Amino acid sequence: MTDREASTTPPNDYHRPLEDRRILIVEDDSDTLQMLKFVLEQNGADVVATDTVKAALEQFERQRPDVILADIAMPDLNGYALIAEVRRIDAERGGHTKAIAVTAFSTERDRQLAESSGFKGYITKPFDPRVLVETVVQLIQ
Amino acid sequence: MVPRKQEPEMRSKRPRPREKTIMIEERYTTDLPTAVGPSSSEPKQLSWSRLDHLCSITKLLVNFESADDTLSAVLAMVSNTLPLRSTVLIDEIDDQAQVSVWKAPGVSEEALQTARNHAATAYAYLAGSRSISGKNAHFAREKLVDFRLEKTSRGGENFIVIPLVVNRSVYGVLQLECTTVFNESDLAFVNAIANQFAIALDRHKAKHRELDARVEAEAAERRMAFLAESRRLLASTLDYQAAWTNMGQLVISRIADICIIDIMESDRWSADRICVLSPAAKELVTAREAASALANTMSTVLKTGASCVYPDPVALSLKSNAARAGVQESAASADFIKSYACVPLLFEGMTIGSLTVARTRSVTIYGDVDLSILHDLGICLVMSFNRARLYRTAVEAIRNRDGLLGIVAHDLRAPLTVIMGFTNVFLTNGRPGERLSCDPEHIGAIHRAATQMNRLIEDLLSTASIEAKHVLIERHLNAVGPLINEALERMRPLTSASKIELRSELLDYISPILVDRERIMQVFTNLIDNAIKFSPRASVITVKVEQSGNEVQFSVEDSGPGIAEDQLPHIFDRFWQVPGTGKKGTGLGLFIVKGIVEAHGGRVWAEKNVGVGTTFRFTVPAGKSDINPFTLGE
Repeated sequence: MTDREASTTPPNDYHRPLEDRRILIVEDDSDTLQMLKFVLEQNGADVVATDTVKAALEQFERQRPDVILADIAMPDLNGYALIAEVRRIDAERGGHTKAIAVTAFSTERDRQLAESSGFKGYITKPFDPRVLVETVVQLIQ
Repeated sequence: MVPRKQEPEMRSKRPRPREKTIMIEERYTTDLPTAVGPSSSEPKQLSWSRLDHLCSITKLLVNFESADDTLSAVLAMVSNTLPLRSTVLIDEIDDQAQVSVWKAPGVSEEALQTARNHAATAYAYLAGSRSISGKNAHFAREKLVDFRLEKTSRGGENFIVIPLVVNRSVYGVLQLECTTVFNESDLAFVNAIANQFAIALDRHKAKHRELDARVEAEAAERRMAFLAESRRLLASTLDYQAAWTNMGQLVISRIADICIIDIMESDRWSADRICVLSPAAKELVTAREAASALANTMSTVLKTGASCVYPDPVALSLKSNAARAGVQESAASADFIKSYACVPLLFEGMTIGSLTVARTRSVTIYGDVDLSILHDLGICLVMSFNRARLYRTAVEAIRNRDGLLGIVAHDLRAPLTVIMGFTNVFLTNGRPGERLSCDPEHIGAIHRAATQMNRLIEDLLSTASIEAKHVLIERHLNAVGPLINEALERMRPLTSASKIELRSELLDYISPILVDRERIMQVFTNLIDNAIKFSPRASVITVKVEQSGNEVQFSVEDSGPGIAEDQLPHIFDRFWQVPGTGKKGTGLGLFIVKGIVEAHGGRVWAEKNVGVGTTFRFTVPAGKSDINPFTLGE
């Protein structure tokens, strides 16, 4: 583990824009989840990775993340269901937490649907990891 | 003129001696008119009087309107100079001889019957000898029939039979019966009248033939216009139900009170029915009642593929006799239907529906002309239906393709995200000149993503070849154990996140199978992939194999939510997805499985497990070890 950190994590003098930020990810594809986690951790984020909406909601209550990154198409409950549940929570308990949809649905209609459902950001797969980081940074500033 | 006493119509069959049988219809028997015109009391004035009559008769014949009316007037004049007892006119039109009889007061029915028989026999003889000429017009009665008349109070009787001849062809006879014997002068007089009458009658017939032809031409024109209008309506839209309703309205406005179009949708196993009623019919019945009244007829036509019409024209010709004999005619299935016609709708030799029209008013009944119009309409209907069906199929195919394109785009983006994400990190994070080192797990993720994309592409290509029925199978003998193990190994990486366990059970010794290894591997991976998608975390997926006879049967058993019974017949259809679970793939996996298994000569099916989950089973023929795989592998 230490070897890997040494090789893939940039040295400390690198800018780590997501330092001290907690990010909750929900993504059913394990490799994509792993990739998202890796990229965000590399940029200093504290990542909570989940692969179902149910697990994400549990972690949300416990971890109080700054940002949620959610896939849209997932079995059982999808990303829209997640954001609807989160928005139902009181503001003091994190109901207004900003969320970004990360999805392979890329039409304008999909984007509008995501925004009207309560997502503040929208990233279409596949994406450049730098764009992902920038989007998260912009959202939390 | 004495008013005629009208008798009911009567038909009887009277054989003609030679070629054909003609139907003789006796129209009526009338009392002979009382004498009109100049008095004929003085015998010496007879010739002058007759000339006078001839002149008046010629004028009468110029204004010929109806044979019976004109002849009544003619006879009124003739009876001034001849003591007429009876007159019989036989007039044949299209093998149908009409008989009109006039009689003097006090003539017995028996005597009249003798006169009828005499005329009919004479006509049969004359019409049978087509070479007859006007000269042989007078026949001695003894030659024709052996009849004995009782002497009437007015003395003896005598017949004169004059053939009605035009263009050397006899089309009828005029028979006069006198109480006295005809002399030369009488014969000349009667002959002159008969000849004039024959010419007038023929001219009259020609005029009517022309009129009939014109009426027929006009009807044909109207019929063409009707069909053209129907075609225009049917072509106006691709929604055949709307087009048919419009056409039903048109039919209602022209030839019917009720119009019902029934069609079987072969792909839906149900019938579409369009029922249109005229305002008059709506006052009597609802569409449902109209349809149920005609249901038997429609189902018979559907079964037999033969059209039918009510009332039956053959039965109709016997109807008057039946009515006279007090026979109750069998009624239509419902009182409000006076007449109907029903034709089958045929497509590629199959009866796919029926077109029915019915009248609730008995003004006119349906006949051959209506059936032929309905047949033409039926052809137009089927064409519009088929066009609509082709269009619908095309639209569905396009929608499926579009749907597939969306799914493929989506499914390619997910693995691309992994590949682009990791490779981007490696490419941008290193300092210039620094050698990048990679985490093997990330490389594994990239490899899995690429494999996933490759499988998607293979699925698409397989689908294309299965659709084209062009599955290329290269058979080789393969041992079953290693085959299953390799399939499980290939799929194991996909289970790491969900902690699903993949197991195999080989029950007995299994013969090697003669299959295309890569194709069968595709069957396994598709079935296992499906099972993984729908199985809960940490559950078990078991692959089993057993042999029964010449078949080897494989099964993939999961503990997912199972498939609803009503869905089982559809799961191998192209683009089928588990309803209500959101799209989890292209919907091609099971379609490909079926295509490959069947190309190997095997079967595939799914069963709902007793407890939980689903078992997919497929068979392939067992290979024999002595088979040379290379010859069969072609």
